[in-house]
Amino acid sequence: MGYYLSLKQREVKAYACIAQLRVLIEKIINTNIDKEYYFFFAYIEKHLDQKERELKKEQKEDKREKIGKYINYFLNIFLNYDFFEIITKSSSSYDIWDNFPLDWKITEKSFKKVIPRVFFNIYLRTVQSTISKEAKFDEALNSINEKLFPEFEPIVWSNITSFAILSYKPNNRVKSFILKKNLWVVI
Amino acid sequence: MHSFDNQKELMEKENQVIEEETELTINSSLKVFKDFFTIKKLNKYKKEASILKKQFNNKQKEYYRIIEIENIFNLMLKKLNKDDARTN
Repeated sequence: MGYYLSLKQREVKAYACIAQLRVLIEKIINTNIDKEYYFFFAYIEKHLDQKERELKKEQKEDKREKIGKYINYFLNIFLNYDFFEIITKSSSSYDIWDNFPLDWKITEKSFKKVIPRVFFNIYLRTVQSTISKEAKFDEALNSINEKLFPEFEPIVWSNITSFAILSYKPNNRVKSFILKKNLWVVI
Repeated sequence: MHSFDNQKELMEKENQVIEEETELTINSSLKVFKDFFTIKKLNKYKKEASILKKQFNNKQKEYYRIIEIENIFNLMLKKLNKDDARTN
């Protein structure tokens, strides 16, 4: 074997890293000190800006794909649903969202950019898992809805998202949507 | 009277903001969920909603959910038809 690790060993190491990162994120969010959030986001933003610049410069398709995947994995580890849930539960939720980079929020114009698109996918996954959990009303999701999509009308947006992502039979999609009692949508 | 005018003006402004936000939300949704909301599919959803509405009365919350989603379908169709007309 020598220097090389087996795939299994690499996976175990990767999971250990992710677990440590999650603990770290939770610690940062629960410190309740404004500047911690500012630095936390500022460092990630700086790192991702650099990666986005590399992506724009890169001509070779395989390398572009690699950088794109890196950004995707990176954001998924750092800013996944757990992260949003921790923010909502934190007593400094307002300060955290206040320091959340504007360029990462999803707007009509920003949607084509890499980071907002990754966030959008995380968001869709979050909505899907919340609905399938049969939760009555998800405060975390509502908060994400409001903060991550600052330009959108929240009720219209929640209705559209719920309608689009619920995997109902195509022939009675409206009926299933109407009768679904536990939607997180605020009506 | 003055205070009533102010209140009216505030409400009008608020409604205008909601209208603008709704338009933006509809336009963006049509881009991000373009496979779900085509003219053909929206007409199908509308037909289903209209049949379904007859099964509920106006005291049931389902009735209002149908109206709400119907309004969204109509706004989407309006936008798609407008874009279609512009292209042709």
